Amino acid sequence: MSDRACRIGCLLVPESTVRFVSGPLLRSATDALVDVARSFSPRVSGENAGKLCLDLGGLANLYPSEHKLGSAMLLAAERVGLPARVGIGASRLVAELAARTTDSVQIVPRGEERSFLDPLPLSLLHVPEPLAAALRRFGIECFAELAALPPRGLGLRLGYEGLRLWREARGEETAPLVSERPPERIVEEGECDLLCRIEPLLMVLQSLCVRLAARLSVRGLVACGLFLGLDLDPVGKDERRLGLASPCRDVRAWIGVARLSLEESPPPAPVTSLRIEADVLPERRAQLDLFEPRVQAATGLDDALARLAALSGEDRVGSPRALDSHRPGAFALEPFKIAAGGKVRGAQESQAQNSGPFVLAVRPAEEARVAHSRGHPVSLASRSFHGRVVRLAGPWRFDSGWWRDDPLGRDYYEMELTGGDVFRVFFDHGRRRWFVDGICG
Amino acid sequence: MRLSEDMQVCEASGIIRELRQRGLLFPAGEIRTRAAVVSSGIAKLDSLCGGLPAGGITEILVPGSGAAGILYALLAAATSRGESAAVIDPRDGFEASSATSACVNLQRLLWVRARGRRQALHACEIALASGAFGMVVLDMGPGRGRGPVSTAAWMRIRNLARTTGAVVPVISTLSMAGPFASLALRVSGSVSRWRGKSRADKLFEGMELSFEVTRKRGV
Repeated sequence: MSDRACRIGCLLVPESTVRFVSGPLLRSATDALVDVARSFSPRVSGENAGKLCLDLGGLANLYPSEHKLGSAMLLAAERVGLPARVGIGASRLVAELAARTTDSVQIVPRGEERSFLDPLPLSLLHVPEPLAAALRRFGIECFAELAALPPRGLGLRLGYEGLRLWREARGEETAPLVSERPPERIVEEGECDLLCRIEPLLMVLQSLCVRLAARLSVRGLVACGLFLGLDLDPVGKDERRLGLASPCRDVRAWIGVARLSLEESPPPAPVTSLRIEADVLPERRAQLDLFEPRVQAATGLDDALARLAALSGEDRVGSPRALDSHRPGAFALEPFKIAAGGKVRGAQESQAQNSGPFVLAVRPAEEARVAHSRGHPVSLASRSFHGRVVRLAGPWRFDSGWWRDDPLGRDYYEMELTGGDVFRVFFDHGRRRWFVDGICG
Repeated sequence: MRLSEDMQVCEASGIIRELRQRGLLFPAGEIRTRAAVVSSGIAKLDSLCGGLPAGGITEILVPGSGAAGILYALLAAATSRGESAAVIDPRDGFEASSATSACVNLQRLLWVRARGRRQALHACEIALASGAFGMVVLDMGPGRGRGPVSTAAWMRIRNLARTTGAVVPVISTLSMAGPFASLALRVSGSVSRWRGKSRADKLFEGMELSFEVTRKRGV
């Protein structure tokens, strides 16, 4: 509707309210409808916003009847928040008219196209105005009258368009269905009033996330990361990436991550519209072990891991792995997954076989002052630990990176101080300083 | 017919008696008590208090060295049972190589390097609420200078542990969980073990720890 038309409408009906269709919302809805359609058939053609044609050939093995198929399509559309109508017929026009003349599902059985189309008025067809005027002049108002005309004479008078209309009126297909590629990016967008606080922003975001999760569900995908874009008032954008510890489709986890991100760094200005996009992966089902303790459903663990990653940082949550290195304390963090497989050796057995020493690292290593007597350390004092050295083991020389400009040369000691605490201490040859590196026990 | 039924009853009661004598059959209440305790992986501790309560908080106060051995033993015991374990580590002291040598199955272990105690408690709640972990260890480290922790958080952790049946050991130098702990232990003595006489061949082998129970409720 144009601006002028709006103004005229408001003048004529002063109590009327003009609502404009939101462009981003319409785009998201169209994409969502395509996702739903593609979950039924790979051959989908989107003719205009809100109308899709699907090739349903071969689905008879999956659905006992066409009516059941139509109902399933309605249900799938409902899951992504779109009320839909379904028409099934032998040609696209028949299917479209079946959908337009029902509230839920209408099937036009093969061979009955003429009996369905014949009583319908021609106004249901999108006919170019000169052609429509010519048909009105001929006194033709319904499909049956058009289909009864001789094609040769119709072609001579109305040309190719007239013949195409005639074939459509007889329920014949006039053009092949051209399948479109699915949308590569899965985005949900929405506009809102000026939002300054986080809670209302999260409420709007939640509705977008619910739709996004439903779309991922119908495509059998999970999100391994999210991208949140906020349009700010009057200009500007706030774009942020929301990391997920593991791929999931859990709206609660997404909102939790978004909340933490927004609370950590709130948008600098009121928000006028939101956009959320998912980095996707195919969904994988986990095979559980018969002989292992039952674990929480993967989605519950994913949720927990995502929340922990958002809380502490992605690089601070995971499954530790000892690196194959001479350097004490070298480790790597890997994504945590529920491990399968048999039991490892029993704890008591392991204690008997290897009784230590075990170390808790001091990160970062604490600088210390060490007093010497006859070349031996006799006392240690750092910010947290101090005492006289009672027992001492070492040094163990550690040299690494001698081929680089900043080689690492350390002498490691184990020192027991008065009070009975044992520490791992090293002398850094490069910096000529002592550091407490771990607490043994 | 009557005689046959009596014989069947006698036979059944005999079987039941024999099973009870062999320790294979318990009354329901007893089973609940038995299932509520799991091995800590530390023989001294298990002999002292029978194990750690499942579905409750166990506070272990370690005033000096020795926390490392306790932490890795607990994790090794949990992962060897086939459970997944989580260690919430605000002191950032977990060392993978030591854990490997203590036979902790690192594939079953989630390490959360929380920043500060409040975050650690929040992380503990999240890990417990997931229900995926049989044991969630809170290694709170030295008690000084890290700010107070609310009792509400401990109450939530206790309730979550109760709901999920997880073992929640808390290792620290000062008491934190207080009345919310089902079992509180204290390292009453620690002696370092060294091998070798001269400095050249001297090696630190580990700590001999002795424990005492300071609080025990419903275990």
